[in-house]
Amino acid sequence: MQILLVEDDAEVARFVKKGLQEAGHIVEHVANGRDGLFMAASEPFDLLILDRMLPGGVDGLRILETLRGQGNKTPVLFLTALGAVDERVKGLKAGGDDYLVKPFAFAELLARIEALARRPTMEVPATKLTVADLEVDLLSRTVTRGSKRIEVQPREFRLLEHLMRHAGQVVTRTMLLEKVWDYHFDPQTNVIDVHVSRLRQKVDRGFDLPLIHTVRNAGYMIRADA
Amino acid sequence: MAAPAEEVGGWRDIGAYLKSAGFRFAALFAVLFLAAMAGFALVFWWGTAGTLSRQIDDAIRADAIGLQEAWRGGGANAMKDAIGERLAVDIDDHAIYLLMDEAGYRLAGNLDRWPRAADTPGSWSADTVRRDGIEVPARLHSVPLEQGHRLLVGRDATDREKLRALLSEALLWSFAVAVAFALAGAAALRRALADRLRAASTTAGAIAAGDLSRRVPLSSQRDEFDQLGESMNAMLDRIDQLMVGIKGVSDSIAHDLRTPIARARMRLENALLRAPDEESLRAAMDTTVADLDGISRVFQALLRIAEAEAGARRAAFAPFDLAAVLADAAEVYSALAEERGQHLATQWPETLTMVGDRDMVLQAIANLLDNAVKFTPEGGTIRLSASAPARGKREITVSDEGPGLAAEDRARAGERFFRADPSRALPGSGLGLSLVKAVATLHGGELRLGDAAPGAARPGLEARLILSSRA
Amino acid sequence: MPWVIALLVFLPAAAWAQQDAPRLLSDSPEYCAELSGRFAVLEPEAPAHLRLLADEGRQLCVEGQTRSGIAKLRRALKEAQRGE
Repeated sequence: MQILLVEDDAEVARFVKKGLQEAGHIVEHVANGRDGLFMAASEPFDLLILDRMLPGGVDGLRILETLRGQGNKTPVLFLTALGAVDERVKGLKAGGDDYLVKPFAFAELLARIEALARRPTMEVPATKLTVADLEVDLLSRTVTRGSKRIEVQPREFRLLEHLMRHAGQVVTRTMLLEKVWDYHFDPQTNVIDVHVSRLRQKVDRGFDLPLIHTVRNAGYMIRADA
Repeated sequence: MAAPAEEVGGWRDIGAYLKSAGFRFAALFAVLFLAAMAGFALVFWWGTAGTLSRQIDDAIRADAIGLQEAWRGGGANAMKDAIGERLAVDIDDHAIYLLMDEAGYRLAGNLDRWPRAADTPGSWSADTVRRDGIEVPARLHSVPLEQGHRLLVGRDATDREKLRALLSEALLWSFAVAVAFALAGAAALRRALADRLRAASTTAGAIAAGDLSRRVPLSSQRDEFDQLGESMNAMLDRIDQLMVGIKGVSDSIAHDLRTPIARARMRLENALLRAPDEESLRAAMDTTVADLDGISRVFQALLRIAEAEAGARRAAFAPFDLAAVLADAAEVYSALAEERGQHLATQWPETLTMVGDRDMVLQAIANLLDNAVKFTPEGGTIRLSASAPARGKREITVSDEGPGLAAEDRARAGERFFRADPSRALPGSGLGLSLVKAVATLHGGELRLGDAAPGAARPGLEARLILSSRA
Repeated sequence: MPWVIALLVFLPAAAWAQQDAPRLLSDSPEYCAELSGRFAVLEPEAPAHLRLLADEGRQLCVEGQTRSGIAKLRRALKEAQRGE
């Protein structure tokens, strides 16, 4: 993916750029808002990562508003220390697609970016999701692996569905909380882990190929290869 | 150049004085007072000098009518006799008569010629006549008769004029006195206003200068100014509370955050100096990342608490179904409970609508459930229930089978970073109940802590979160 | 200078106004005589104190105090008429 990173903190920028390049993306970096706006408007990018607080008189929010005003629909992820809920709402309302608060785990950033990149194709409604021999039928709300029917509770179904829609991508705990439960809250203990492990019990136990993997310091992923 | 600046200041001061509410109220009072005085003077005048004028006119009119009767009876001669008779008994010597024929020849009366002012027939006029060489004012009425004859009936208006002069002078003097009283009254009013306001304004000034402990002193009158003072004091108490909260946060940060930060630092430093191989170096860094994440979460939680306490999120309140939120919370935590061999019992009505911040309410319930799961032993039961105990109120109850909270600890449970001693070893930052309390306050309610099973050896904690269902 | 002109205009006007004021005639010795004559008509039937009053009035008129005399005569006449 062609990614534009607008971030004034040199350390963070270096860290992110390196990480994204290693993941196979092409990253362009500018350190102030004015240059960022200029670049975003003049060159085509697949994704924009914007800090909100930027020097130069043009902040991240303004960049986004200007671009959206011009009809630019490039997906935008805000990467910022402004973490209050009001700020988050502001960012998303202005046309942002995702909002990640610093400090962040790189794996989370990567997972979210790849989720954003995948999105357009997933607009096409699918009736079945498949990973290896695991099949999820969205119409009948059934899960089968091989020939065996697996009984899951409704919430587990949604969890599995989300993992499968992002098959091969990392899905962080926060993302699960937001997408599967539609909340922004911080559980003191890792309740999500418990749900995933219960799901894993049902889906992977008794089969040769484990599909649900834990990605260290990041989250989970459903993947056919080991 | 002090002098010119002072002059300018002087004009500005006057300008400010004139614009002050005190001055304007006082000016209003003065204007009303003088208007009342003017009204009084007008009525008084009408009643006295006015009456006199009317009396003179009435007398003249009656006279004229009587004389015209005489004319009808016997023509000019009859009128002449009538005039003569009236003059003969005019003790006051106020009457004025003049009967003239068409040629301008004087037939009767006590005036030597027709006054210029009364030329218009039928007119009422005022002119001066000479009596013994002295000019006196007179009120005159001209009556046209047949064959070009003219009758003039009048009265000496000296008395009226004297009264008018007397009244005018008196009223002028009293007006002067009234103005003096008005100004004095206005000044007194302004001073009274300033006095009553002084309490509030000096207190505000002292607070602005930095003394936050000041409160507006209240008098015993319980009037509007005291109400202002009370409101200000309530506002100041709230500010106090918030500031105490802030100070509490910085104290807590100083104490409880420095520890994990120091720990992380120590671990890294230790690893740098003494790690035997790359493996253990990585392990140390891994743990440190987790530590840093933990610290970050503590900051986040503190921010949320501060937000909730400041009431900033009230603007984003929206209606939502509390029952759905409870169901979601139960679902999230039931897995955890099951894993630990605990049973989660739930009970609430099918729908429970309310207006508030859905995320914050879930966070509060989650925190309570979190604690319950943490403290309940294996095989124990956690109860999550909710109801609408009264109109406009929603109550959520979470009870566990843990050690409960001693009475003296309950009061402190809402403090940030407070942990009842025994639980220090378990994970969690101690901010959980603090947030629940803040959410309760944000939603116009409260958090009540008690024993789930009073009297038992392990009484368990029953946390009742009471919220207002309306914004 | 201008006020001199104003005065010159004003004074004659004032004098003219003075001259123009009508004069009351009921303060003259002639009127005294008229009133005396009127009372004479009523005198025979008039009570003593009124006749005295009228005489006082006549006397005052003769002495030159016309106004007081006229006043007394008028009072006498009024009382006398009322008695009728």
